[in-house]
Amino acid sequence: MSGLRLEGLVAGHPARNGKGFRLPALDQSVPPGAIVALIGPNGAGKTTLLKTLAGLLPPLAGSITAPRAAYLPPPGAVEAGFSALHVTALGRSHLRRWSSGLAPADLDAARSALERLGVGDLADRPFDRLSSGQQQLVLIARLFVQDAGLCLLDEPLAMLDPAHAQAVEAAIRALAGEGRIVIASTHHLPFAARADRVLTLGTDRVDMASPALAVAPDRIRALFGVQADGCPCCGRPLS
Amino acid sequence: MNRLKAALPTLGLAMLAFAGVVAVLATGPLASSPDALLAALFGHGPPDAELALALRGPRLLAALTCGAALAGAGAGFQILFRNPLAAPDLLGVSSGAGLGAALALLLGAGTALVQSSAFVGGLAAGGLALGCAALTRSGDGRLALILCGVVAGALASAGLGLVVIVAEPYSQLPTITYWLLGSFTRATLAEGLFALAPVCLGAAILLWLGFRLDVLSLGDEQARSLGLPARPLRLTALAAAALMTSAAVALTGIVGWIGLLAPHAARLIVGERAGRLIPASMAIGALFALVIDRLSTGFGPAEIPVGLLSAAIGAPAFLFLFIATSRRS
Amino acid sequence: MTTTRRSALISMGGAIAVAACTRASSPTDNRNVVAAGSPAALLVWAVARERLAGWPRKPGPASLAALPALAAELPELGTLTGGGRPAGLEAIAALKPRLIIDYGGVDAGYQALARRLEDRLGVDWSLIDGALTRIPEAIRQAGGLLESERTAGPLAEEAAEVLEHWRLTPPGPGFYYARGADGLETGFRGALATEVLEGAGWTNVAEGSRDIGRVTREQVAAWDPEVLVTLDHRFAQSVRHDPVWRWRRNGDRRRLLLLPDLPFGWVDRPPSLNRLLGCAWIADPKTATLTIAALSRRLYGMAPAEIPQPRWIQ
Repeated sequence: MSGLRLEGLVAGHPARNGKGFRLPALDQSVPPGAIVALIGPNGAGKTTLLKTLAGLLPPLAGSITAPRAAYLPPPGAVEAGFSALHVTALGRSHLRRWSSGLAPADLDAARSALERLGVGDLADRPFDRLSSGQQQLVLIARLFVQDAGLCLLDEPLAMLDPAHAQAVEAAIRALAGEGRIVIASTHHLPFAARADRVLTLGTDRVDMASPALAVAPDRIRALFGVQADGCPCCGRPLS
Repeated sequence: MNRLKAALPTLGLAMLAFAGVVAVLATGPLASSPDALLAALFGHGPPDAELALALRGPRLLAALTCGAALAGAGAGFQILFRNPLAAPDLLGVSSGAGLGAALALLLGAGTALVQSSAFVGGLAAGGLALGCAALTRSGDGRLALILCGVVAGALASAGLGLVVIVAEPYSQLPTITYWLLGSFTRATLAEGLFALAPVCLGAAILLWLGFRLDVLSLGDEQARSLGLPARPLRLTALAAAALMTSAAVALTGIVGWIGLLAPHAARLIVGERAGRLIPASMAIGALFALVIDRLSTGFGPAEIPVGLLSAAIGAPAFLFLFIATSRRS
Repeated sequence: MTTTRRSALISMGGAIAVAACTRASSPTDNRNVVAAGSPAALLVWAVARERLAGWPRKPGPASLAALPALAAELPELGTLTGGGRPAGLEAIAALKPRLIIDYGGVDAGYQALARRLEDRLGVDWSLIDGALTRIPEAIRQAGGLLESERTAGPLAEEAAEVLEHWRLTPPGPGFYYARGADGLETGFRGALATEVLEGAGWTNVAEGSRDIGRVTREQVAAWDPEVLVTLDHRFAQSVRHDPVWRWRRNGDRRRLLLLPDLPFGWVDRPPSLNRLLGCAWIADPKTATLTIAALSRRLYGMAPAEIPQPRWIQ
């Protein structure tokens, strides 16, 4: 797997009717296997940045050199009535451009991915009957099957109970452990504290730093405008 | 063992379909004994039986083609629009085909020309809807498609109203009215085969798209993230469904509710995956068409238009299914 | 010139001018009868065509070519009863008609409709019974209303004679009446459309329903009629060589009768005086030519050379 290089990347929406926004330019390199936490206030442009890195939105300027990317929307955004196994197996779609169906090998890969994440028994249940946490694990299993070098996750821990949040975090580590770059936006500061890097999106600045610096209380106060001795969303201590 | 269980519904449907086919071929006003019909099948039966088969065969073909095409297109639309109320007429194809046929009948054309005109009319309406929707670049464009389809259908209906007023009341108007109400007995074997070609093409496209339709149903963003070109695929699927619908309406007139009912029934049996839903819908649609064909000619010499029967039976059946499934979940 | 002579000249000139204008406009003044539907239009055309204000439904170009030039000059007004493009009531009223004639059904429904429209338009409305057997009375009644007894009288007598012969026709073959381009619409036994044929003793094989209905080819084959009767030459052409339509159960070839359609159908469209031609022909196909020629001339104003003939299609 190769690394991620951003050269003068300006993500944002083009101005239409005088409304649009631009993020500050990004010049960064991320090695393979790194987990980057993306933090910032609501509306700062985290989702826009993730989608631009995923290739779903065109950048306003600059360039991205990245391996194949996969984007995971926040929990609850994906609705599907077919089985979890089928959802996972669809991760191989990019390989089956011209064939008439998924191969049995795809189903096997899906099944083993699900089992690896501990949700193998959910394989034949309809996806929309699973809980948010279970759905999220299935979608991360799909990321394994998809085998993309760059995984962009939009608030993967939102609305998850602690057990599932832990499982998802472990899965994210496993993703990165296989050499993928994982960039996950989050409000869950302890997760950011445990990441390899933290990318902070302020109102008019963006910088990449080590977690210790990025989640220091004074930085948090400057970023969010609140005093935070513990994690603002769950109250746990920050380090 | 698991595989056999999975194949059971399909086997059951196939057996029902076979029974339906036999029922259509074996009964009719030209009473013929079963062995006479069987002999006629192999080319050496009494002239009565030969005639009966020569007439019932095309009718069977028309019914099966119409039922399967509308059901398959309906399933495709329901997957693409992520809406269980999507019907094959969503893009205005049925209305456009009706207008095409009515215009041809107004100008005094023969049945082959009427069929071609209906086919072209349906594709034109569908193309108009797709084209207008493409002009709006809003996300995955579902709402734009539905609105443009409604507009295309409304325009075609208005045109149809105009034709109805202008038509000669003693000869043209009844013909147009009956054409619009639907019939399986109109078409000859050649016309049935002509319609079968686009239906098979459309069905083949939808079946090949298979899992890609599942991906599309997750949304454009997800589709692109999974490495599929969302817009071209969706356009292809819509065009295939429009092709099937147009061919079916051109062959038999407007037969509603099959495209709405069959996918719902199929969903209960085989689940949501496009790869299974579309073939199962087509089978159920064909079966439904056989049933209403039997009813259409089973009560006296006057033929009850199949469009009326499909609505009279399809609408309550749909309601029943809907209530039953919503009670369950 | 003295004043008196000048004023006399002026007034004479004025009188001549007025007389000229009046004479020039009297043909159009006379067109003050509106026909409520196509059957009535035919009745008025036959009895007093110079008084017809317009067609409820203008005949097609082929029919107009077979009628005198006056037919093409008349405008299309729309129908007040029956099917077809409805007439604008205001446009009808603007014509200031003296009389509206409706010719056809006379049961309570039609009478109520007649009264309602009479009130709305404020014009005299006459509802005349359109039954085939009462055509002579209908013609005389129309003649009285239209002040055209000189034309109506002989026509009514001829019609009565035709109907008399028609009633005495010996029984004929079993037939299926094929309506429309695909021939799958028919009049069942007792329908208005097949009255001419059934009244002449031909047997309508289509039974089991009423009036007009749609059937399948298999049903026609099961009924196995001896003769197919149609007004539609397109249908005749398309089934001419079609074994499904032409071969009977016993192997004989089914006869195909194409009745003329111009300027109006001989049996069906519309259900009006045009049916007399069908009655005349069916009573005695071989020697009816003269009667039909004379009748056509009276009904439509056509020269004998233009009168079409029924054809048995091989």
